[in-house]
Amino acid sequence: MTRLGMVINLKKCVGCHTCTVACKVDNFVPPGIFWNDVYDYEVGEYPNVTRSFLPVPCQHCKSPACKDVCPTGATVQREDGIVYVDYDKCLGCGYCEVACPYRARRIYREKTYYFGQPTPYEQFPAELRAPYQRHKVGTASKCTFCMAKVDKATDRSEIGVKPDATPTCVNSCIAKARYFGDLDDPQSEVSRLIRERKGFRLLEELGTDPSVYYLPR
Amino acid sequence: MAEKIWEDKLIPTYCQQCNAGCPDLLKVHVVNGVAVGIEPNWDMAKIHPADAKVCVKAYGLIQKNYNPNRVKAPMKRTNPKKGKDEDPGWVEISWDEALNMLAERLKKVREKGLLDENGYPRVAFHEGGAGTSASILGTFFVLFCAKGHASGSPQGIFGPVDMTLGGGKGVKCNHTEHLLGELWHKAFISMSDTPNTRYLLSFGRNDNATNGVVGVRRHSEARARGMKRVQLEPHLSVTGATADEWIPIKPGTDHTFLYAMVHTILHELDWRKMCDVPFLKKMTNSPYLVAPNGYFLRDKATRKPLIWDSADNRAKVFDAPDIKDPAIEGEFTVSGITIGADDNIEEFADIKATPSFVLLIEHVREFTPEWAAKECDVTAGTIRRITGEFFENAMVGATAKVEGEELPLRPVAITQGLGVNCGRGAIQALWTKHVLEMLAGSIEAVGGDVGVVVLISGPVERSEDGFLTYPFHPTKKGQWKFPPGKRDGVPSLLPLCGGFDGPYHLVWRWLVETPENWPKPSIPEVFISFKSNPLISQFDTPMVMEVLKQIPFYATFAYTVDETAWFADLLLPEDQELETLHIFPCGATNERENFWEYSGIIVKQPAVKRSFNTMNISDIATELSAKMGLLAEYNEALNNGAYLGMKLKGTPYELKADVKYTAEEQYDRMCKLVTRGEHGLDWFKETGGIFHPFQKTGDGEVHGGFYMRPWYLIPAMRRKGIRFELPYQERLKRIGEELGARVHEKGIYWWDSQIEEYQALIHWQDTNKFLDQVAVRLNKNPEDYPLWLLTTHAMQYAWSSNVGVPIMMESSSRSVGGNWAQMNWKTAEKLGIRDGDDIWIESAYDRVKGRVSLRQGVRPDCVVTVGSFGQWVTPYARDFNIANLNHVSPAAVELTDEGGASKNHMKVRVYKA
Amino acid sequence: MAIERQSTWGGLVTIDMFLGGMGAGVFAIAFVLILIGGMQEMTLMGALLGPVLVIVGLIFLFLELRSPRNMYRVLTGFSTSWMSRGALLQTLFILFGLIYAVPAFFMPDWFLNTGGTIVGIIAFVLALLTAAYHGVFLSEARGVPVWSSPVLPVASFFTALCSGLGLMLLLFLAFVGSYPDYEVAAISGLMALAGIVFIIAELIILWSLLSSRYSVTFTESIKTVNGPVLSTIVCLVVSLVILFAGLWVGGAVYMVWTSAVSGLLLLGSSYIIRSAIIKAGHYYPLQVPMS
Repeated sequence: MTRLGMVINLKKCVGCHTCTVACKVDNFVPPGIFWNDVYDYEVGEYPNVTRSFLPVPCQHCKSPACKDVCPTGATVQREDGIVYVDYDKCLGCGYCEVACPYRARRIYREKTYYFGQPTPYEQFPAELRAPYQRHKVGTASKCTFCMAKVDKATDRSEIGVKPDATPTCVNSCIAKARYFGDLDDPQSEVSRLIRERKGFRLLEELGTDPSVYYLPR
Repeated sequence: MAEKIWEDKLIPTYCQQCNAGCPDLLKVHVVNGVAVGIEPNWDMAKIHPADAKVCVKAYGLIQKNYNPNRVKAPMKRTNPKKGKDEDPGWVEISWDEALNMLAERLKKVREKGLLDENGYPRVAFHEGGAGTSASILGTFFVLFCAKGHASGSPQGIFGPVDMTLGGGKGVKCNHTEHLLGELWHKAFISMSDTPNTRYLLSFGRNDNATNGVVGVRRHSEARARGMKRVQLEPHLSVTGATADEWIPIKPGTDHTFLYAMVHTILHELDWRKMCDVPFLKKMTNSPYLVAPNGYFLRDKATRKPLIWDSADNRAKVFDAPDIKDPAIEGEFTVSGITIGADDNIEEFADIKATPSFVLLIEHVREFTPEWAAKECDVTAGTIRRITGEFFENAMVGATAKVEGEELPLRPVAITQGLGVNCGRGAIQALWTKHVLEMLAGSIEAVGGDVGVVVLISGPVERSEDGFLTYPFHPTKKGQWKFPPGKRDGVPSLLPLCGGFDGPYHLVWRWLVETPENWPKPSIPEVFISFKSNPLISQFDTPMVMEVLKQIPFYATFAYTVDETAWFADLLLPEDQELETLHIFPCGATNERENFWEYSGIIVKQPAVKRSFNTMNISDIATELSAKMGLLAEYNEALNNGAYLGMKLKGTPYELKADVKYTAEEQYDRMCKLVTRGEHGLDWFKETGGIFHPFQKTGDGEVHGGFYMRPWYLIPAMRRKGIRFELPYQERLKRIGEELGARVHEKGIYWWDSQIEEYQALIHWQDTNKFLDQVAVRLNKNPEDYPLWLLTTHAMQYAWSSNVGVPIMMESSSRSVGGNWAQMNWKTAEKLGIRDGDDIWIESAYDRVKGRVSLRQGVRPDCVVTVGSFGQWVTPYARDFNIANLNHVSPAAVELTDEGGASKNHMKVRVYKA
Repeated sequence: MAIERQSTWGGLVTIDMFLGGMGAGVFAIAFVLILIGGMQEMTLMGALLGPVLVIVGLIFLFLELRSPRNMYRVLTGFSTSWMSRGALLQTLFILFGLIYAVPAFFMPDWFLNTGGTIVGIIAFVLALLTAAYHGVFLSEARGVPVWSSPVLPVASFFTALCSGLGLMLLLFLAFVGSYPDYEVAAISGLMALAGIVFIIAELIILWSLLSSRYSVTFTESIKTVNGPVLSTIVCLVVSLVILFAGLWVGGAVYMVWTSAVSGLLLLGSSYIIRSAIIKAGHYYPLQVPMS
């Protein structure tokens, strides 16, 4: 079996948001919605303060809390672990948005444009985009691990290695903090990093079994 | 009807919105004529030091390109009155009319004479913000800037123009480091050799935000490997966030910390064991003997400085081949001469002379950690610990092999941000930094402090005294230039700025009010600016506005109407990154932390059709030169290599004098020239560029008109027998004395405190007193301004140029503090200010309003603003409500250092708006 | 800085759950009182208000979902989703509740008939399920620690009963004048007893919710609604004291006032606690291991 997953090295991340923006540009993500947010936060009190960065894309949980609560089956989990939203089935009830402990989902509430009026890029025809890039008002919106790209891989070994078969955030990360591949394959780079570098996951205690691992800061 | 895909291409090009990329090599994904994606140019992954990854700003290019707020066609002003509240009354005109208008103005100037009655050029030209590469100007560069970049001549075919009015380039850069860095180790910019560094001491250097993709990558890999970074800065930046230790040092005291470090190693630690003594003896002027008058003691016959050889117990000239053991300690009885100011020769017989190193030890005796602790708000223990860590990590004695050459491995470095290496205190901070690195032997060593970019001093050559050459402006009697001939006075006042033509902040002020006995500069008749917004980026906004109002004719290459363009008579909208055509010499050690193993020529090409009625800047240049009747001169200059050193003359690609070549044709010929006829522009457009390996330990290479220095300077210096001019600054001492005499002869006494900074061993000074002096001059009480106002940058806006792009603000506002003014929670609480309030930030000079964001990671006595904002005209950005330091920071002589830079901070008070 | 608590669901969902719970609660209590007998107009009114309140609650849910097509989709997804099951459950309750309550106004012995009683029992069971449902619905969100707590359905159940009783106590105020003292005293005594039981049960459940230490996220999330939770407890305790005092002192006049005050307190506490639980959602203070 293949279980696609990501490793993010927090020691390397610089909070530059290149992944955030690259993801938005590549996937036509509308204003105000982030499929790949990077939290930039301070802990402690002056002068004992640390500031850290935490990129939080959809964790593509093996046991996704969002999927359980969906009333219409609009949230779909593929065999390789990718969780995506079928915009045609989604009601926009928002329960998935509420239920996801990672806040990885947003309901796309109203049509807005970056400059108040559409640019040729924003007018790029929906039918020429991948299905998940055809954003629909009133539906839930989230990261898909760049499904269309991953599906371009002709062989499992290309995923996360060949740029064409790798999510945009991984391709764009200037710090080389992100890795993508098959968690079920013990030989893959992601599996090796998790093993050797004490990979951990966010909110593991909730039993969501996320597919995004982090390497400690 | 369902749309069909009729075109799906990846077009190689590059992003050069700033100089932090080198630039970034990318591909634009174009489907059915629309740009829908940006991705790294993976074909270049092997050549690029960070796998061709692309900066966040480049991902904003699509929005930047399709921005409906762009200036969509040439426009002229119809309202003759200029002012903040005067609507320019823009009217769209044709390109022909626009260029005729400009050409007519310029022709008139030529008829009247290029210089005015006062000897100042009638035309002023500004080539863009700090770090803007000349090649962004395309062949327009040839008109106003240079006959040939390599020649260093600042004059284009038009003749002399004034390049001193600008938007911060020259003061808002790492200016003083540019000068002293090049003086000491050809480092226009000083960088750690990050991939090999073990210990990096950074005084506010914001690498993660401003060093581009390669910088970020090198540092992230180093962190993962275990490099320790200690970040000293008053607020916790994105770079401080990734450091192992944050030391919130008090603003303006970085040099104090460094003096105490020098004291600690030389007076408390065992420097004979911990310092790189062989390096001090062989590669520095530590052994040079100094006469009692402070000048090097020289051999009478050869005039060469003397060194005491302990092995033979006698003095020898510094480059004598038989020197065995140069003494850096002791006192010796020697005879010789000294060469003082204005070549004044003094002869000494059998005097006591000491090596300069002994003077250094004495010089720093008083700077104890306890003394520094009070100034810096850092404990003496911390200063001692950091000093110890620095020298323990230096691995004195270790070597590394690079390209077969054995080089010292000294993996410790000190870097400084522009709040430290610019303005008052900068020369002190830079000198102590370099002295520490000299002591550790890490200057230009593997893992140490290496330079990048050479813009002032040219290739590695040896001066008479055995140091790197440097082109000072002359200060000797009879050679000193006065009146300066440049509105900023650089040739007269700033000897360190020889060969470096940049705009300075004082010029704006002097155009309005002139200091005592200073020739009043005249307002230029024509001002042309490119990609720059001085009203936002320059100190002293009110003053800049005053000057702009008075300029009779101002043309600007505007992307959107902005604050400065509001005062223009003519807007010339130039093609944007995704529409334009340029070629650029790329790679090697060109710009910021970009250490490439290759150098090459790359092409920027139109990925999409023009959205609006814009024009390629090279075509504008050709058209304009034709309209001015200068086409033959223009083509001749291009033939002579005025653009990127590409000499077309005598080759099959030579341009004919009377033909207007399109940018395509010009670049096609240059492409063919560099590939010896093998490839034309079309091939470059397909591949993105051509590269060849670059030698890291060579002498550097002249490439595309630029001198690219090698990664490591030591091999070339060894080959040529060159020493570092450290720690003793005999040249500066002499220049200082000469300059003092010169300006006093003219009755100028207001530059004395700058001249005092030219010393052989740089003296510590209290830099904050200068801020108080400004307040007093403005009849204010300095004590009313208890907080420091500082600036920082977000990567999205580093080097600016995209404030009008919404996706940049959307992402950067996710950072701690957003882009708002930032304060410590506790301070705010005392002042009754809550998170998200609007506040007034008031200096002795002026006040500015903006929203505040409260944080823990800011010193309680500081307010931090994010640079690039404060717009009131620029569409989209004008709604930000972000305060800009420049509005409250005057261009003041008091704040200006000996290199002409001003500190990027101010004392202020803050209250709720 | 934290991954913030959810802001998606707020007033509309709270009102839906509050009204739905109150409707189910008031129906269940009314049904029991009808079976016992006494103050018939009041108990009938309670039984009628039950389904009506659930209908009003569902209107708020419609507002959240925006389109009838979406509502249809919600109703048809019951095999997989608790939202669908809940919608179906509430629809059935409305149906049976109305069939039970409405005819009683025209046919006085309808609720004494076997037919009426069967319908009533079905509606009663559906009401109890509805009372617990809102908790079940939230507890389905495994990713939200405060919601996924196993006590949440029980909490929801007693909150519903408390708010139902609160409404009943206010109805009592409206109808008290038209009944003889002994009838009033008996009913109010019963209601006070029920109230004491419900309140003690709710307090125990709240205590068990607050004292649990599932995870940092749970604790931090609860912390974000400390204020409302505290005011809920205060309301409940005051209400409890008043009801006790009422029973102790006795007497119709006194009972009227204690009923009114404790009714209001019960309604208020129910709304506050529902709103607090919705708002708490989850709150994840960012903190990751350092190497």
